[in-house]
Amino acid sequence: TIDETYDESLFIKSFSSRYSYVSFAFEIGASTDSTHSSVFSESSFSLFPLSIARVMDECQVSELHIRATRGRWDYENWKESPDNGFYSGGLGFEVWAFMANDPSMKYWLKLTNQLSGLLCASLNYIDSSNTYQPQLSYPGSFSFSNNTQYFASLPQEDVCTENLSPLFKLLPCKRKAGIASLLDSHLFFDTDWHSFSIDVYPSENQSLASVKMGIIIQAVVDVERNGRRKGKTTFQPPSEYCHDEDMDSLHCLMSGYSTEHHTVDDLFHKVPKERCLLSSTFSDVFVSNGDKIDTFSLDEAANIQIPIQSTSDNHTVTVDRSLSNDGNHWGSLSSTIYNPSSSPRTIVYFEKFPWFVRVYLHTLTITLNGTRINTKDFIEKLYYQPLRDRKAGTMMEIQFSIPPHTNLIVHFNVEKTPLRLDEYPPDANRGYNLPPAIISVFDENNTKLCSLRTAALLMFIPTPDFSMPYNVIIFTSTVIALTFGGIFNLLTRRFVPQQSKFQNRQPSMLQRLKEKIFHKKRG
Amino acid sequence: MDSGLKSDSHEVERSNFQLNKPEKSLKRYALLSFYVIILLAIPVWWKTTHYERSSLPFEDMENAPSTVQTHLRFSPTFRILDDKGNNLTKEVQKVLEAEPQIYSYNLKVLEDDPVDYRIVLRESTDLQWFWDENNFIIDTPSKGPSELAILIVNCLWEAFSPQVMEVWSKFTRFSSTVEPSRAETKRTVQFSPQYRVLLSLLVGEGNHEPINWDIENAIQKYFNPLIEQLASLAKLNIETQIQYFVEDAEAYIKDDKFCTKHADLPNLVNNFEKYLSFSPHIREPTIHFVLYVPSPQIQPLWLENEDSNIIPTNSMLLPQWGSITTINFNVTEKKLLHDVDLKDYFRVISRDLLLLLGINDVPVSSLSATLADRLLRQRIAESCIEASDTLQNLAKLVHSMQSMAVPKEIQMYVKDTLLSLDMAYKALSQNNLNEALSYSNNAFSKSQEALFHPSMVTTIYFPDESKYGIYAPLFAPILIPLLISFIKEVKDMLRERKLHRVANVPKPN
Repeated sequence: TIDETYDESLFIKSFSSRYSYVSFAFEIGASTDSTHSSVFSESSFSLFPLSIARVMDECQVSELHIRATRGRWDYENWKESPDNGFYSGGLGFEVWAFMANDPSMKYWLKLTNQLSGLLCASLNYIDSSNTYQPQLSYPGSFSFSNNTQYFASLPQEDVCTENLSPLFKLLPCKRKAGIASLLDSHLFFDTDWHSFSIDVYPSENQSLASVKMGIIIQAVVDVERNGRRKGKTTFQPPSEYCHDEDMDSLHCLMSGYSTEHHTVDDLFHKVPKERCLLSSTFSDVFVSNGDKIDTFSLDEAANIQIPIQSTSDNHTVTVDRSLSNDGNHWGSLSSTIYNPSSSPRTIVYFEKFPWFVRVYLHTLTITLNGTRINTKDFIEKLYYQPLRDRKAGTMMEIQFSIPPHTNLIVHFNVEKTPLRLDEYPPDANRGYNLPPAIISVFDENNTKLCSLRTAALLMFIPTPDFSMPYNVIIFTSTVIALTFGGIFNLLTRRFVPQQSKFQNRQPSMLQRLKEKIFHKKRG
Repeated sequence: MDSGLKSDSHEVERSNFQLNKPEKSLKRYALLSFYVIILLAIPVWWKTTHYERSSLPFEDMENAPSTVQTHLRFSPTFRILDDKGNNLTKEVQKVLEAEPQIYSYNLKVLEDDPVDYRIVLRESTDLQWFWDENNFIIDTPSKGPSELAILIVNCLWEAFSPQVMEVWSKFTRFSSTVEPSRAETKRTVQFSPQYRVLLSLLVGEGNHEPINWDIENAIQKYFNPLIEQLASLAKLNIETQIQYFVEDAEAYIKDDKFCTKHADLPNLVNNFEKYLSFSPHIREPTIHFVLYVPSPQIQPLWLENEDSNIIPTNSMLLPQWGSITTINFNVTEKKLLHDVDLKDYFRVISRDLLLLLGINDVPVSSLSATLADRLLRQRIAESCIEASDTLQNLAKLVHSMQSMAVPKEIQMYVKDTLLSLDMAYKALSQNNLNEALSYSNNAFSKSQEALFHPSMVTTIYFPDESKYGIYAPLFAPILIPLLISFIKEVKDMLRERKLHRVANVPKPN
């Protein structure tokens, strides 16, 4: 028999008079009596989703993490990413898992295929060419010896409503009761930044006899924009387009929102239904109020006032990455990492590229406060997986320590490879999304402080005109046919001089005409 | 001057016409070299555009259905108990021999053990027969041996007719006629050596209290005996789950009861289906058994049949899917369904499981030895027929799509299937049902693997227009001069030979 628990909580924090951050956290725990077996191989579940357990068991996964994010986290205004960035991914989908016994990637591919069905996401695009095995960035919750770790990210994958609905199916109360009843998909996907994560991991020690599954859904809600939509199905034009002179009340509806506090209604346009009785906690809603956190029960949710506060400037590390294109062939990437704190930080910089982006490691330079330094001495550890054409992409994990109040630039050149015609992604002229780089920050005691994602970059790859193959075929065929004709004639025909024949001929009509004309002119 | 010119042109024409010998042969060699190059290029071209198409035993594959019809023979054996001197046995044998062979079944009456079943004759005023474990008991008024023999044979055929009909109906998939739309034939789940049985407790959204069920004990007590009996037929993996906050069924009030109309039942199934997970295994079909606890607001809820009457078991069977049972259960009183509460439910789903597995005519919830044998035969017949059908279809497919690659593995699977089928027939002729089942299962799964091999999906496909579009600009300008020069050369040669002959013809004296 297995023991199952369920908890849920909602955390709300305002960033400014306009933006509020909301985070729905759901946690299902399960543990078996028998210490040797795994929860996933049990057959009777009441709270823990059976589908997840089956997949975990089938593919022999000991730990699974999924991140899906859309939008860009505004480090400037929203400051530090929530929960130190541990539950928010970069653009698109990220999946990483610890597989018990899978050196050949067989189960990993099976896992991603099944997850793609489970979450209605195109995770089946994960194959050996975009799977990486990071060594430094993702130590598991508990170290499983002889476990293989796989990581894949799909930056081009959109996070959408169809991904959210299967997520609610995994929850015991669905969205019929509890905090999940507040969430409206339309509003959620209209926010500036939203993300959801699924983590399945052993909760106590290395054994799978007790596991936890956490689902976290986060968003940064633009209260003004949200208000425009209230009670209406269509969008109003944003206030930027409304000038004082044409204050047409029908055309320019601006939403009124209090600049003193936000309410739950401002954020969700909904009143929560009764609390989910399967959850073991009673105070479900947490609101950040300055330095302290107020707790409320869900019944009081309608009356909660979320005080507006300015976010304090407490960055651990900031990071910015940019791509410069040097024509269609060459490019270079530079990431700027800044440590504002007064203590040195250990940084693991995890960068991955599709195989058609060739990274030249010899061009790697690191600039510290504007002066170039010797990379060899500076880098503490470096894992580098070179690309193999069509098989595996480049992976680079650099560990170094960044001194306090220092600006550091990592720079290297890349070469873009033309692809085979059928390998181009759909809409190739849009460019290709480079997955975000992941920066893990550790302090002196080697505890992970936070994990940051850079923005995904859009890279143009040399794209041919797609009617080209036929043009080339026709062109080469014509050239071959022409040369063939010439050579063939030269080899098999005999050429005989014919001047004598000409002289004997009657002048042709044209010649006679010419003669006549010239004659007349002369005459 | 005029005459000079004329003679000159004449000279040119003549010299053109009569190339000198070495020049002519050089020209021919040059021409020949073109043909040689083209001929040499053909194998290269063949090699680069070729796809693997391993040979399949087409004849055996296409004959597989007819082989099944002739070779699929079940021969249950009987012995008449207390038959002194075996007179009656001989009499019965005679009657059976005279009888025309009915599809797939050869009943045999033997004088000695071992046999599958024993016939027990009991004296009684009324005629009736029934099974008691492996004993076929016939109550009959006393009669003479020849009369009795006919009576025994009649009783046997009567007892076996449902299964003979079942096997017979399975053969109809080969015939081109439309399958008879008998509900029973459609009810049985697709055959598989392994099933996943998913028991789900679905709790209506009006229930906010956490309900639980003591399912593990209940399975232990009421379900495992049947599962163990079925183990020789198929492996059944049981899984259970609870889903809360499920959309309730449409209900209306009738005589102080809530009822769901027959027409609304499909909606109910649709609602429920999204909470039921499917097996990650492709070759493990899921049989769903849903226990539905309606919201307290609409309790007691009853399902209606087509005639708007309440279904007494409050349960409905979905062909090839499973069943849904409604249980009216007051949540405010207790929050746990004890194993005793589930006893009736397990009786219902045991019956449903047997129905889904193919026992159509007897509503039972446990399995007797004869029923187990019957299921076994049915499974053997089904997998043999299915495998043969798959082979035939595969042969048709490979024939009809000439541009499809056929990798070596498929050849291997096909051969394996044919071999397993042969072994299954052999085991059947030795009346070894278990062995026959394992061979026929193997044949079935191998044939499926052959037909659903991933390589069979990705066929090499070039539309004809594209082929011409690519080849025409290259081949037309090259082949036309080559062809014309070839014709010219042949003509030239013929003319030369003629001239030669004319020159060599001895003038008549």
